[in-house]
Amino acid sequence: MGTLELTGRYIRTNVQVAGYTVGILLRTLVQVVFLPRKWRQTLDQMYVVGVQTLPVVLIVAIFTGMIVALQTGIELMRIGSSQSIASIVPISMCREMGPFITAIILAATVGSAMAAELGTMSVSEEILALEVMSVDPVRYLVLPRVVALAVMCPILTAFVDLVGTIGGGIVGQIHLGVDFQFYISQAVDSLRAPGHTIPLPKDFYVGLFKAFIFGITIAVIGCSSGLRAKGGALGVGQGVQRAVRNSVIMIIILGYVATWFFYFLGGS
Amino acid sequence: MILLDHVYKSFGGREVLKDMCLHVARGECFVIMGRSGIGKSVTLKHVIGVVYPDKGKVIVDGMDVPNAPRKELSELRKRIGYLFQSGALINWLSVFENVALPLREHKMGSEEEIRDRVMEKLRLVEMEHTADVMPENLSGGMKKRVGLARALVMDPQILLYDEPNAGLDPVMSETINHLIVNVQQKLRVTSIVVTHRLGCAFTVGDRIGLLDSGRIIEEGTPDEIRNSVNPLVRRFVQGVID
Repeated sequence: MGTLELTGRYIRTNVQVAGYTVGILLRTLVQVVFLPRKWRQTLDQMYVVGVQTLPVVLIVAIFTGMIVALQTGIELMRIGSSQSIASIVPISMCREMGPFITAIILAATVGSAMAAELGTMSVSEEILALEVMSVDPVRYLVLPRVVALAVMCPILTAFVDLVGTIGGGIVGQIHLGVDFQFYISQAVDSLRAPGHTIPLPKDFYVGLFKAFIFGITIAVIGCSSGLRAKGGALGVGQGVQRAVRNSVIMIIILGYVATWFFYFLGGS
Repeated sequence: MILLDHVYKSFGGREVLKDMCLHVARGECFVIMGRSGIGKSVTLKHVIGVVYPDKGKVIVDGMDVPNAPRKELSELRKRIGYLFQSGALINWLSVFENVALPLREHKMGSEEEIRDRVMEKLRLVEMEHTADVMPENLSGGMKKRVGLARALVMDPQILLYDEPNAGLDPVMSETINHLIVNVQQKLRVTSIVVTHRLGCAFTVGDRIGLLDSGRIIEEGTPDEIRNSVNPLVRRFVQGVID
């Protein structure tokens, strides 16, 4: 098989995967009207996404805030402005680090689990069983998962922003000589958005909006990878691998697009 | 009535069904017999509309299945029960919830009515004592019986059985065979049973068709199949190598 043919086949496969995933997204959006009938499953999924991943998310968050504070603080100490970490850490947590870290953790834990769960159902004919019972797998399985991640990803991100910022304050107090009280009041000031129509700091709500988009992305990619799984355990494994890989790629691309849209087009 | 008219189906260049013709009358139990991997399950999937033919017609209760609008196909599927090889029970739902699933999803009655209907079907397959059990704690035969209860819960007019005895010991196989006969006699549904087990075919079938080379090569009553002189049928039924 020639290189050209291999490249063509690779492109065709990826276009098919992308088309299928977009199709699942659109079908999910159409099914949103049935959400009131799926509240129980949605709450179950919210518990899995939110409560069960909270400990790991918070551990990563606090250490991320500490690393950001330490790395920037060491450099800032040389020019005698280590107290600037009080604005750098919260802004970087809210703008980028919070939603990005939350999304990566959710892609690795929840997104992969969704792909494995639906993949196993797919190879054991459970998805087919739903179809032959006239039960739409998108409404029954995908919708609750997408809604759960769309809701919980921003909530977890808010926790990550908060805990990461506190982590930065702890490092400031211990290693950089920045008073914790001062750090917190500076952090709150740096996030304020006086005169803005939305009564929330822009850095904060843009971060939450990104997390909302990331949540939908992770769930749709995870579910579609699972639904496409074929051929037993190997197929499920490949589906999980595909889900995590594609989610991470899309998180980075969409993160860039959102930053460009809100901060470059929209002004800082 | 179920009709497959000169159906052709290929997967990745491999022709599975080739000029396949099948006619099952209302209230009849037709058995499709044949070696593993010969296209028996693919035939069933054509009837339920999850696999479409490359060429030919599939008519179920007067509906042209491959060309049916999504909504009509969905309504047709509600009138068809399908028993999967593995049972295909949803693994995080209890036995009761699995059987209740189609009723709840299609809002067919109050919770009390659903409970009564589910328990009635579980009693029919003698599995009422497992209502709260999770599928992982059931044996292969029990999963099949629960799968059958789920297939029956919508009171279908057509029942499709995909290898109902696969992976079962002879005693459980016989139990499933009698269940199929029992359901057939009580409910007078139209059934297609796909199997490679002779015992199953001869016990449950009103008519039997042998699938080979992508089409039914011979069909008849159990006695006609038993006494067939067709070498392919003889080879399959009697294990004779000519």
